[in-house]
Amino acid sequence: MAKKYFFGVMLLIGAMIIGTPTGSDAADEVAKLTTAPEVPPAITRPGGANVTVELETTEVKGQLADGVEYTYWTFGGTVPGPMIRVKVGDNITFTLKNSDASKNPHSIDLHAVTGPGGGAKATLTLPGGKTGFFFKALNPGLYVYHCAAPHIPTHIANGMYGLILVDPEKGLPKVDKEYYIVQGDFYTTGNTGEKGAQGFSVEKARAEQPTYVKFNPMATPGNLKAKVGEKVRLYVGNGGPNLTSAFHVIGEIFDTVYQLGAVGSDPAKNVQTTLIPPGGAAIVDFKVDVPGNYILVDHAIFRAIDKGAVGILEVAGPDVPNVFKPLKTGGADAGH
Amino acid sequence: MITKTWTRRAFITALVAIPLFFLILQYVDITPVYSADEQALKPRVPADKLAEVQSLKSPIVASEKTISTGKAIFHGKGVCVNCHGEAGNGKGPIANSFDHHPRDFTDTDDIGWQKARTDGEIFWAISKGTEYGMIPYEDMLSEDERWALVAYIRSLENSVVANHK
Repeated sequence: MAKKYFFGVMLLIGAMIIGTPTGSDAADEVAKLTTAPEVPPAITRPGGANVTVELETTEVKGQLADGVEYTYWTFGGTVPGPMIRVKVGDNITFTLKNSDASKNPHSIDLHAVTGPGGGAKATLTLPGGKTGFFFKALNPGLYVYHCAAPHIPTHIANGMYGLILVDPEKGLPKVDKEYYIVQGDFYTTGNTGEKGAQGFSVEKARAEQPTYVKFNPMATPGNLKAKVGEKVRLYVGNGGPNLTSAFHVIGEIFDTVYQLGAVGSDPAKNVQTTLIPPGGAAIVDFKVDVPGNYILVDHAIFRAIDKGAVGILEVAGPDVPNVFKPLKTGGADAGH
Repeated sequence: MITKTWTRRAFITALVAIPLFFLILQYVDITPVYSADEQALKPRVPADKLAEVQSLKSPIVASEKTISTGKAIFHGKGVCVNCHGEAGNGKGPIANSFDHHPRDFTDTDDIGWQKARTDGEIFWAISKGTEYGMIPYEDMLSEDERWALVAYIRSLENSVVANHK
């Protein structure tokens, strides 16, 4: 009889142990992921929540330029991969799935992770497989994530990168519009502009001679939009694999730049062009004062004009002549 | 007197030769240089584990069935073909990405790799990966699956490429 009770008690204790949340495996919320250029909403709750994040790696065909087809290797089917937003102190359970249809193993190294390989070894995943790990978001900031399966540069060059924002405890200053942009350099077998399906040229990648440099090459199409008087924030990453970006918006001055994505440091003020290294990021804020189209470029300008590193911010609203107005210019009778 | 002269000569020689030796060292790369064949034959297992790993024996019997299982993994879930190629000759679609080309298991160029490696060393490389880009499979394939791959890799020695397409 005593033996019977003993087993009963043991079963009860066992069930209690299994059923007790440990703080790392009980999810309070699922992270909202967004496709570029959309940004997940700011997190207003305190840090320390249990958050689950799940990404799937896929290899999918897309356009690199008009008439130029390329097989991207992706997180979430887009390049850049989805933007992830958590808060400092959050406990994150991260899951990586590799699609059945993938031809390669994939993994993820999140620069926001403090731990070996940023999670890369724990997430090395064969096609059809699923892996995961737990991490605590210790540092606020804007961080790159990327695939780290061998041959790592090839995985990155094919588009496997994105951004994770770790909001500081008090959040970032409020703005009216937030957008998500990542630059990447691409190396096709054919020359720039050569139509048709293009393969990856490892020779050009080693020589660091890209055929294309793009912002958000496989994301939601369309221009960024804002209204006169609004404060705009761009979360800008650089997936590389090779080029350092001289990020600039033509006709604008960045009022505030969190250089290198370093939230917590004193931001720079009144910046024309900010450097973003491969595997790095920056947060730029500016108020749009005058209507018009503002062109986002890598100001290493051949990359913009000849290789595609261009994006457009459309600012709508009435003219503001006390800030900017074109002067009437003439032809032959204008006095020249 | 003679001894004193020789001592002086030896001292002067050393005074010139020693700095000269170190000067030359700065410009000469003394890192061992391996030929392509030597590179292929160089053990991947660290020296302190080599004897233990070399003596590992497969717990599964190599048979047509085992080889067939290994072949299915090689061409299927293991995605080995991506680097090592359909024929196992190291010419997969992404092979060129690697500075050190993936292993040619057919060994048809007579490097002698198949004979130089024990089953245990091949099993270790599959399990742990290598510094040359081989990924570690110990968390992704079971032990039996990895040994089945060893059996299949062994079957590729001197294989005719067309047979494995």
